[in-house]
Amino acid sequence: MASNSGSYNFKVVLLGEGCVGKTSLVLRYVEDKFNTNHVSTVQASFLNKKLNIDGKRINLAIWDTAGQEKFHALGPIYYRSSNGAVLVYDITDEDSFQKVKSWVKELRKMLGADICLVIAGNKTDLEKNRHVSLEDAENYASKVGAIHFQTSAKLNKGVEDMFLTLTQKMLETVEEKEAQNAPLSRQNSQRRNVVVVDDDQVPPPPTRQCCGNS
Amino acid sequence: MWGLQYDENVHDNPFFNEIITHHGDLVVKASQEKWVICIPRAGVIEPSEIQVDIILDHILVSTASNVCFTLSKKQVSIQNKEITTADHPSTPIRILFEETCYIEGLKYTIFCLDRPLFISRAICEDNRFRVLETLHDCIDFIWSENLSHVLIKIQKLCSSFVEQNRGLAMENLQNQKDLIGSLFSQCLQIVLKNRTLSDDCENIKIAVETYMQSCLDRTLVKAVNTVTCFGDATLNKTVRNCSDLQLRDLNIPLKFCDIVTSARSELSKINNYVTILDKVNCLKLTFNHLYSTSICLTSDDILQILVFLIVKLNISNWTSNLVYLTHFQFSSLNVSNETNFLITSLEAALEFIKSDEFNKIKSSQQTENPVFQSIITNDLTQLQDLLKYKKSKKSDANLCHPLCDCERCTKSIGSSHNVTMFNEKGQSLLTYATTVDRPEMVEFLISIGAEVNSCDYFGKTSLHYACAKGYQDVLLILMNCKADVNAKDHDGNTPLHVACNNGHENCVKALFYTSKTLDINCINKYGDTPLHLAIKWNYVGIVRSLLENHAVANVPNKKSQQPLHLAQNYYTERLLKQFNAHLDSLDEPEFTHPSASTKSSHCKDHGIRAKGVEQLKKIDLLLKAIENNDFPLTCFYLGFPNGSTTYDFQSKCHPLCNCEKCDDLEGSPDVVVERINVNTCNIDGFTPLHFAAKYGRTELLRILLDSQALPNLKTYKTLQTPLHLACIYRRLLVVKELVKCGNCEVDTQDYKGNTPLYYACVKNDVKIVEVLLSNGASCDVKNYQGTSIIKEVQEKTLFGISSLLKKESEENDFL
Repeated sequence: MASNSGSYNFKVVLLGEGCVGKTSLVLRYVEDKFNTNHVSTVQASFLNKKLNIDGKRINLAIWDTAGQEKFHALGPIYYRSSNGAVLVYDITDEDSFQKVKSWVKELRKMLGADICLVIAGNKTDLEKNRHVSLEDAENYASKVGAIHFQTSAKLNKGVEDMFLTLTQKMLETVEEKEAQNAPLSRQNSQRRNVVVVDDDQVPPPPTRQCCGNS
Repeated sequence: MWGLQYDENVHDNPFFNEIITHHGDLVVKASQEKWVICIPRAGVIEPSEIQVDIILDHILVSTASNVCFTLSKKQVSIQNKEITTADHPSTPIRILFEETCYIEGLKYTIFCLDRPLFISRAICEDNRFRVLETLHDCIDFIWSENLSHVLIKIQKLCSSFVEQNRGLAMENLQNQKDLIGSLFSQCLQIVLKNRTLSDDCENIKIAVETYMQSCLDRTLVKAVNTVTCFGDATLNKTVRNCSDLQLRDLNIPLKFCDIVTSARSELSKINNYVTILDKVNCLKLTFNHLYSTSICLTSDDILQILVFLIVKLNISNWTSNLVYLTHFQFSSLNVSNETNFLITSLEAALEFIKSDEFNKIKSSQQTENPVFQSIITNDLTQLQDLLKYKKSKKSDANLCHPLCDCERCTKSIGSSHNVTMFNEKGQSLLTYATTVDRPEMVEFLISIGAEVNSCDYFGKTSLHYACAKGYQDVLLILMNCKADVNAKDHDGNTPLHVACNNGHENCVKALFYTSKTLDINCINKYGDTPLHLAIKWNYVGIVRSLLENHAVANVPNKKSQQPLHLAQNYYTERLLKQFNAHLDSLDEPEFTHPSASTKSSHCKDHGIRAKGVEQLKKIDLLLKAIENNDFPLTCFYLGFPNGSTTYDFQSKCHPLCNCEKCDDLEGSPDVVVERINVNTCNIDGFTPLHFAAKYGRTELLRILLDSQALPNLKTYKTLQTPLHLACIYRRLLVVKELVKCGNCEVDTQDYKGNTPLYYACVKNDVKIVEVLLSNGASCDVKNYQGTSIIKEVQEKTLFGISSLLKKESEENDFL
């Protein structure tokens, strides 16, 4: 692949109850003021963003997920093999914060420490209706090893900061892992069943003969 | 995007490096002022050209509108990821990618451009960065790479692969993947032999894979269909049973109606394509239709619309499509690309349809009428009260005079509840009670004179609804009350059509058992017979039932499709061929095959069908008794003398003896009113002998054989004889007993082509193997997957058996 060396692919999922503003957050992040004018279609469920952090090139694939309760069971289909998750709650809605807690539990159970978590208390523009105290949220986040952010998609506050921090954390995790299994290539972080054809050699001969043939 | 999207490391780009090293101040300023730095991609600009004024041309000052200025005060407009300059308005410059940089504490945005701004360049398409989206693209690409000669080689390789792997459909998924994977490596090898490798390796892989898939054509699709056949049948059943789902049931706003319609017509084409690339592209275009609205769609909306589309489209192999897309893609390495997102969305929608949550979504049943309400709440006494109450009131009706039609009088007559009333869909009380599965109410309504065959506004009778929803109890009551089994609705569908379409095997079987006048080959408005429908939706069990009941398999529908054309998987195809062959033999001249004998030859394979529900229940009780080892009860059902150990007329002490025991023998036949024939089978084709063999009831088995039970009858689905079952469940004594009886065939093949010996070997039961071999079982029989017993044994390293078999085959060779 062209100049693929030194570049990372990260998958980030957005999880949270319906109406907490997941879609607005991701739209705000990927479409800054300049951008709204050159994207003709508005699609919010899957977005790509290229970052360059001090020479390290990162391709973020941001997956928005369905938030309604009836779709809860589909979670694993979306979050499998992701490197990071943004757990969004609405600061005016205590239930949505409880929902975040249940997501954290599920993610830690299914993906362990491999996944970097960020908890976002969204809608800080509605500060006067706040029902989730900042202190509680931050304490909880540090307890489960996540970073807490206060965001407002409406006022564009904290959004970029949050994604940047998440990306840096994912970078650290991957590099740590690479250092541990130094001999293994980066591609190994992507668990997937593929036929790897070595670019320098002809592919290996077929290993399996057809049984109807024998 | 599937193929390779343009990407380059900007740190290797001379233009970018020039800016960074010599114009650091500009970068700092860009970071502060949120300017955008445009970088022409590597290779399109000569190092000598990189001058200060050119660089200034490439820095955009952002504004709120889509028109903006460069630092050199030139005007450009940005739209649709393209930049148009004033000097060349007709040839916009593509933005290849956008990158946000956080370098040394500064933050700025880069646009990587296809060509430099304000410098005329011939547009040269670089093959390396072409995005392959369809099969057509791939073939174009292979031609442009001067590789056209490999196309024919790949084609040859694929056709010989198809030739060699006729059993591909019967392999499990992993084997299919391995086979196709190795075929892909072979194809790739051909290409790599012909050229040196370069950067565009990824695109070559994609193109070769896609072309290979198109060469395999329907073979691969059908193989995957076969593997996923049962999953698809279950899914189809769910989907068919909620075909009256509306947008509002899924909370999809009506404003999406238009985009849903256009997305639907796009997605309906998915089965026209055979390659993964084209199928994914079809998904992508479908999504693009959804995004074409100015309303922003959330993931919830998209998922719901996708669920709605799947329910509404007439596509019967979604599971298969999904498995194909996720498991047979060998060339692309990138996990987090858009393709993956599209496929995952499809997977999520299918998963949701399969979940319990989806079951909860039903068209809301609402009614104001108290009578219908009482049916919904399943309140029989209330229903009785309402109907009775009005009846009594009617008799002493309080009208002004008998013919009065003043408001008060008409109201008292008009609102009267009686059994003939109907709701806004024209459904009678009986039909309504059927749709919500209330057998007691159906019984009650019929008992007070409800018309069994009344139609609603769609021409559907209660029987249609019972079949559509799979309510067997209601169906049996209706059939008992002489419901018209061949009634047609406005689409020409009979109840059998409906049951076949919605996948209710229980209802199909119930219809066969309860009706003698059932028209099995009836066609609907579209010329489809019930067989067409059952095949289309992959209901293998129903297809078998229909064929066994002599459904004609060569009726073309109005699209001139015969059932065989609709067969999507190997199972239904084989069933059709099997029974077609049987049909052909029926068509032979009568004098060689008198119809009676052909009929009996058909019956010879299977047990005698129970006639009517009563008998069917009885045979089930009998089989249950055998399973529970309740010997006296079994004997009672079969009409054998109660409790005696053997049933033998010669077991009397002497011919004229009338001691107690002998009296019993003589007397019992009078006591038993109706006994079951020993060769009767249940709905799945199991005879008492099958059950006795399965559960190892040796004593009973002996009695059954003595009373003319046929030892070679097969079950319907699995085509297994009692001997098969005895071997599967390792009943040594039963096996001995069966082979001893004389006319038992030891080498019968079941639905997989396996003989009893095969099962005995697999179960590693040396003793049974010995018995079978000594009774002439052959160890050379291959099953339908082409595996012989010896091979299977060797693979499983069952040495004891292996040596036995070898000895046997050596002896045979010697003879």
